[in-house]
Amino acid sequence: MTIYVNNKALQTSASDVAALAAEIGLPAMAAIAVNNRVVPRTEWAAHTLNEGDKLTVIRVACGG
Amino acid sequence: MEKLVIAGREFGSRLFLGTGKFSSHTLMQQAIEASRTEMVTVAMKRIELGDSDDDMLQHILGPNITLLPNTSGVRNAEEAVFAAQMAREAFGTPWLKLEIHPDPRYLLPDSVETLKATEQLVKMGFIVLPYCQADPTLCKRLEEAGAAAVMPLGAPIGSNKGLRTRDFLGIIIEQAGVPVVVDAGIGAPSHAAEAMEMGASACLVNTAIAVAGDPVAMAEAFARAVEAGRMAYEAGLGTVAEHFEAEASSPLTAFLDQE
Repeated sequence: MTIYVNNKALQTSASDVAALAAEIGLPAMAAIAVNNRVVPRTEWAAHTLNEGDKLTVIRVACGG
Repeated sequence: MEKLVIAGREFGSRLFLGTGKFSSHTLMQQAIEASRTEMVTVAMKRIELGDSDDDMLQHILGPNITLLPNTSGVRNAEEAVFAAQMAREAFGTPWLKLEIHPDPRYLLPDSVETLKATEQLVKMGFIVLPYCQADPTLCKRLEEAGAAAVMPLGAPIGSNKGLRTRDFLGIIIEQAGVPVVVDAGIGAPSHAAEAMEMGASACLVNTAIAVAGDPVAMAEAFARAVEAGRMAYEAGLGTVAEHFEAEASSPLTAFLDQE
């Protein structure tokens, strides 16, 4: 199916957020929102992904 | 020196450090160590697919370091609440530097959205430290909304102009029931010392250290300036004379023979 990660289309066979995190090699300190709702890490495995889902995935950056 | 306490956490250093603009992670780490800071700000960015992991956090995290994620990049309260939830998830901390500056030219904080976001985030359990205008009324409102500290600006972010808001910072410090952290615009150790002498609880410095010729030495210089300023504040500064007249600090009785 096709989902969107930070506005970029991605073909994936991952059925849930945890599987997707593993697939894209997420850094240790990161967060994921699906369709603008934050998904806590403890719910990643239970949160199934659907065709066309829009994910926001963030990580740490330098900043003041 | 009196310890700084914010939201029940005790800080041995009154200098907070930002991590932007350093030319390398190694230099950033050395500056963090030299500054003796215990509070370090970080930002968030969207990952790029195929991004290689970088080890930035390894250069920051230490036993005494509290991470202070910021919400830089958000334009209103709604985006700030979203960013805050992402930060709490990513970093596992409720500490938050709330910054909402929709205008990219001056990066000045939006007071209305900042107050609105503070009210919501406090209810959601965040420890909110809002970056804000040096507006005494606003700072009281932020405090009433439950902000753990207020962080008024000395001058625009990255400008190195020092305490252009000095008189208002003085009123904020006089009125505040929460710690006052002077954030933004501090460009030299003397600016930081001045803020601390006025009674500020802490200073947040980034650009002035990160882009210095020698960031590690500058971090040390800021550490000393913040300590000296605080020490002077606690020691009690003498009052400034109203008129431009001297007051002798040595006895005026002549010890040389006078005609």
